Amino acid sequence: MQSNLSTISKISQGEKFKIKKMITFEKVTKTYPPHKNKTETLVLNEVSFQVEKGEFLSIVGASGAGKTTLIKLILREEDVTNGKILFDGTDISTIPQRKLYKLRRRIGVIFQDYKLLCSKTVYENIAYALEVTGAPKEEIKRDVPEVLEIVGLTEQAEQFPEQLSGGESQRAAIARALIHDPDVILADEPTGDIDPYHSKNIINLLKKINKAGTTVLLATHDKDIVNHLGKRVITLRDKKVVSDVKNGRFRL
Amino acid sequence: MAIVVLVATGFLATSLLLAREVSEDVIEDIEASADISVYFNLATPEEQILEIGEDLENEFNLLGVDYVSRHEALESFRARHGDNEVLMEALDEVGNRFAATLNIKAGEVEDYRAISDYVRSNHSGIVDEIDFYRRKEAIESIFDITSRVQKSLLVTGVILALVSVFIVFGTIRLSIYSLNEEIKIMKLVGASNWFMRGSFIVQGFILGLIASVISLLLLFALAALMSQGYNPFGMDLDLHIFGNLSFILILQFSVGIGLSVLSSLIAVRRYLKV
Repeated sequence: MQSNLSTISKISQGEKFKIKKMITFEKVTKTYPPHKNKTETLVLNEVSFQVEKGEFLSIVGASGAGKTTLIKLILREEDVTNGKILFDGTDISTIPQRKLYKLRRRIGVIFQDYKLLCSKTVYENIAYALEVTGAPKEEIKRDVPEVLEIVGLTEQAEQFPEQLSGGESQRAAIARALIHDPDVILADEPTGDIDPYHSKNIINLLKKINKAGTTVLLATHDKDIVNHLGKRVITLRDKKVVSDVKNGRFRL
Repeated sequence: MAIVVLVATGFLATSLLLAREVSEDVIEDIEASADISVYFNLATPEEQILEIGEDLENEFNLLGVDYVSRHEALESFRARHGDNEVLMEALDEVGNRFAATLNIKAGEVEDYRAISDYVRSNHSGIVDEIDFYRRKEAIESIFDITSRVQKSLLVTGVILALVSVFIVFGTIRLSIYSLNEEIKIMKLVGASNWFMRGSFIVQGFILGLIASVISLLLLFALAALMSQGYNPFGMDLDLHIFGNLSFILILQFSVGIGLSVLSSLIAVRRYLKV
């Protein structure tokens, strides 16, 4: 009887396990079409990996290893050439163009260059992300100060991006990425323009967000950060995944 | 710039409508007053003239035939110019030189030529003169002018419509380019496609709306000017404008807004990558 139960629970756990995958890459190949007499460029070659819900995954590789393309593929800013990408069990290539925004609302993205609107204050930049989704004013008034508090920018709310330091700008970008309460945060070289001290702050913030249950996918070539994290690391080299290690360290 | 061209287009569309209205009016006036006067030789007996009149009534679909005898013609002349003594004296001197006349009203303008030809060929001996050609010319020249004006308005209108589509298209394309960063961010934070397109289409809509309002104001100013007596063509333009007000409003707004929304839609389809 006991063993029977455990079998059932194992099966059901297996079922759960299946759904617990947040992002799955299945032999994803991406080539860019030929451009002006040049041959087509291969960016990713049969890349496969899985990201569990709530995981913190670093993707490392030299510049041009395909990290940014990989992130664009998850957002479907680019389409895969071969293979498929599952997001929470759904093949994202099957999502019709007009419904892509639903996928993007479940993903928060942060970039090396922050991509804040320089004509808007920190508060407005974050509120804007809610406004474009047609969120009611009360929700904006309630949620924006909350995320500002999480990233520690309450006092800078009325400042414009050019008045902020790199670290503060990136925290504002993180606040904007958090505003939709996303399932996944994609961070593309978030510390690329920030000094090591403030980089640590940013990474700690990402760790904090991850602890609260959000899956984080961090693309970086910063050795110190990866080694400091002690989380799973996937290494990209020559358009391929060359290693996938838990508690990994940075190596090229 | 976009607004100027849109205003011109809207204005032209209304002019096209008004030109048709006004020319219809003028032609109607002329048709109503138009008839053929057949003047007979002085010696023609009254019975013969009346016979011709009956004959014409049988032959053509006429609105009416009026016989004016020589005596009646003289009397009506006397009634009109009775206070002119010199004229009256001269008239007494020469006697009644007025011809007996048949005034024929035809149902259709096109019949006048046939009637005129008929009278001329059958009764050439007794007909002195047929007063028809001048009216015919007037009517035909109005037809001619109207159709030319309409054609040129139409051609200009089509050209202007195309120009305004291109210019609005360019305006929206420019603003898509200049908001490139913002569009990228909108996309990132999950704005729906129609939310992104919407803001540009609204921009086109506003352009069209402003243009329509300006064009209407111009039109009303023109109408006001005319109703105050400045009326170079002798037309009741203001009456036509207010008589067709709802139609003109619909025309103006649909031309102005329709064209600019159409071209912003095309621009958004082509240049806004969602």
